Amino acid sequence: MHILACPVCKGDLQLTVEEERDGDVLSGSLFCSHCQHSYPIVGGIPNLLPPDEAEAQD
Amino acid sequence: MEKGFAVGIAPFEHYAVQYDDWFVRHKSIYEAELEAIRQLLPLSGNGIEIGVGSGRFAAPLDIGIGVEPSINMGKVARGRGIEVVQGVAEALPFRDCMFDCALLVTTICFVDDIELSLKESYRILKSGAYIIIAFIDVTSPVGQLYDKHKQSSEFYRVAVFRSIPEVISALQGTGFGGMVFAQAIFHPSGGQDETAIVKRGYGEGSFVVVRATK
Repeated sequence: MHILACPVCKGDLQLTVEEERDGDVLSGSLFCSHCQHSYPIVGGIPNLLPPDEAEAQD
Repeated sequence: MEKGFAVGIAPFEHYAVQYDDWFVRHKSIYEAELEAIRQLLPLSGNGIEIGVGSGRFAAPLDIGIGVEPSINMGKVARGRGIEVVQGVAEALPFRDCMFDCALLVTTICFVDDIELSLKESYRILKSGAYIIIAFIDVTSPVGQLYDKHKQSSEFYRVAVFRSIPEVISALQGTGFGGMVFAQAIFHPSGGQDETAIVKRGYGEGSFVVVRATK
């Protein structure tokens, strides 16, 4: 997680863990305080698509 | 409506299993491609594959991290032991100067903005680190075939196949230098065992690998 950054501003992300197994974060979120955007972690995969891309995929 | 970077991923979301099956059905070509990449890949260091897909290259090449826009492809890669992050090449979600090597295998034909993608790759690489781009040369026999029939392919419909000079120019424009090349796939009509045939340079093989240095 220490290598990750916000895809938009490249700033630091704040990790919130909801479910973890053997050090692997299975669900939670990564919050960018600069962009005020929360990126979800689902099934162990952080969704760090830029917000407009994520919306386009929904 | 503005075109998004990940506009071409829909087929990969819907046909992830079919895409992955190609590598089983074309074992000889797949192994030749792997070998061509392996010849230019650094032996150690912190690597990432950009456009990791189903992990068919990252896993056997011991690249532990992959970024992929398609969640369904990413799930398959995660099943192969890759640490997957959902994201796009044009807006990489990584800090500056983190990696020793960035690998892009048949990704460059799917990115919407090649300059921005390479600029982002450059940003996340350490000084002196490598970018390795593997792609089908559009001027090669396989490239011509793919380009001609791409409208009938679920995957390649939105692809923009590139020539070697185009890729070299984009790399130079980003600031990469010190390029070396490997090539494979010399018998596109099939029926030949391609596995053992990998050459340095380019201009003969349809599958080209270029390694450049930051």
